[in-house]
Amino acid sequence: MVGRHVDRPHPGSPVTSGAVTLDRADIGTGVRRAYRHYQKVITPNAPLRTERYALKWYDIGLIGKIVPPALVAEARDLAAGLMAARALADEAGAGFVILNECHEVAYLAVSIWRNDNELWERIYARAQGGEFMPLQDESGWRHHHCVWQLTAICHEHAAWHRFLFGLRDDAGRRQWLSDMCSGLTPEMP
Amino acid sequence: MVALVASNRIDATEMADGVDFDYRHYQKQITAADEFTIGDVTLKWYDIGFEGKPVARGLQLDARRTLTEMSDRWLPADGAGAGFVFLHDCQSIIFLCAAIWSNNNELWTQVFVRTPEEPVFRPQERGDGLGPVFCVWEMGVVWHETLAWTRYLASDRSPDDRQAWLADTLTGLTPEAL
Repeated sequence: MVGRHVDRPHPGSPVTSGAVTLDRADIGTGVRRAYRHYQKVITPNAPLRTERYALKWYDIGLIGKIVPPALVAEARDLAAGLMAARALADEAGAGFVILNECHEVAYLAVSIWRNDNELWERIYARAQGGEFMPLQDESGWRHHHCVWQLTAICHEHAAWHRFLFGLRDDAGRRQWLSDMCSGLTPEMP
Repeated sequence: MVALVASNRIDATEMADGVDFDYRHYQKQITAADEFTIGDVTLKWYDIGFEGKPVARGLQLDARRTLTEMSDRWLPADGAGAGFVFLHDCQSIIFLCAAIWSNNNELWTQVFVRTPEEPVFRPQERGDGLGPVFCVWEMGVVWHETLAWTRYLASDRSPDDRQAWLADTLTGLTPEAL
């Protein structure tokens, strides 16, 4: 990642696994044999400021392909409407938005911090030529995030840790606003 | 339409952070434990608890029993896959999350919740609007596993790489000293 803050892997101690041995051709069907992993680009965009919330904004796209401004505008309208409805609950706070354009679908994740240290979110998906629709997850078993979105999410968790451990004053809030990641993800050897 | 402003025009003095004034942030302990396997699914295991208060062995056994007995709520249809579990003991409430990597690069999750009033794990229901995801401590596990999975995806995905992924776990305080 290239950005103001460089996240580091957690320095915890590696442990040796027990008796489990993975010897299948691949791990279940979770990874197609022909799949080749690749990088994407994370780009901070102008934040979304609503009456009661300040949300940082990330665009994620394929290398060499800008996330279309019209798609961003559509996503901003949707996110702003969601937060306007949220304001009716008499809450206020901070969070972030991720707009991830994939090959055939775009994902929009609107996230806010609640109860001091919890992340709450709403995820939408938009097929090409369609509209953003909420992801359905009545069963509880749910699509969460891809590895590229998780990079931005993990950065924002680290940024929130830094904010929570700080004085939480105006300077801290200003620093949190500018504490964003950008560049290619993942880093490749 | 809600007006948008550029980053340098957001006034931090007028920005709410939503954090309770008396809240003081703290670290928690992440501890890797024996893997959980069922069918062709292999999940690394993490306990998350307060510093100096290890997650009770009995609680972990109950969580493993829950994942087995309620496997229809989270096992992939083909009964195969790889991922991780975290068991987060918040004392007042306990979260159990089974997470599996699917479609090459996507994380899918099922969360179970156990409360003092009803001390059995129940699948977390989700409604419309915003819903809870992970707290900042649980994200320490998720971040480590995201990096581990990314390393695996970028490898030759050989048997040795799968074994390296399995051994690539985390034990330590989260977040690290800032």
